[in-house]
Amino acid sequence: VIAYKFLRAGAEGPFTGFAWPLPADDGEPGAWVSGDCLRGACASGVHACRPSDLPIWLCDELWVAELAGDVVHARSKVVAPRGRLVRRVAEWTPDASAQLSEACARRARRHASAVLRASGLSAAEEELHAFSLDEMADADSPAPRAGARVSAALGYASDAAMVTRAGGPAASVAYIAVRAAMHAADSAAAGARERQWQARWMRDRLSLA
Amino acid sequence: VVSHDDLTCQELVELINEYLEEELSPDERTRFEEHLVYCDPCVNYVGQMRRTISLVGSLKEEHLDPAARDELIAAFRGWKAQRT
Repeated sequence: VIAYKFLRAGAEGPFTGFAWPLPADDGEPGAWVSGDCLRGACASGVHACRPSDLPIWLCDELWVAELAGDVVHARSKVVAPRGRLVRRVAEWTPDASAQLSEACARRARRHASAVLRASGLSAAEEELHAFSLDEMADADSPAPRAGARVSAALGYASDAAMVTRAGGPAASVAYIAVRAAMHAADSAAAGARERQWQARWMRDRLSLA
Repeated sequence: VVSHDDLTCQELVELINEYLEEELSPDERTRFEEHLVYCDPCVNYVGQMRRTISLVGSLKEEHLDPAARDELIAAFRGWKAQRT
């Protein structure tokens, strides 16, 4: 089974600190790793992502991993008795990560727009759309006297813009966009749809299968 | 992919001992680590806890200055007396 694995710089497990064996220069995959090689609770097996899980586990390096044995599908990942790194996804770069942040910040603004529109604040919605992301990070609220629901929606959009402008983690902006979507629709399903949108963005941008 | 049962920072703080002692269920552990992906302050907190445990674990009784040891014992006795 082919899956994906996000690792810290240097092919290190983000939670275990495990140094994954790298593929050879001739393209031969890295050595097999079993749960026994991993620390403590990760001894249950090798954890990896399905394409739909990718936005949840964003990290420095993205690798294609091969899994062997019975693969168990869990909440936001797959777990297998053994796995190895096949190749690094070269398209996942700091620049791609920054682009994902920006895309997610725009989505958070779009969700805020929906709340403004639903609240009959079309002038404020137009004002929000006129802001660049940079401007939005500093701008005064376009609807300062609106209620808590509008304020929270604008807060998500502003937070996403600020983290993006500061070069903060794409994972944080992606999460803010998920919360913004849930808030705008008042539904957990909207958060899942936002993750699906992010996964599609990654699939297209990174040319994943 | 669900998001409605994300861990809050407060819940993460409450679960950190079980996480570090590897006593969380697989689902709880996944939720815990999902939170760490997007929350830098909690990543720092977990790192501080790991370092504290590592440092304290390397301390032996003889490393303690006798005066500091007596002060600690007195403080614990005082605390215990207040609770009883």
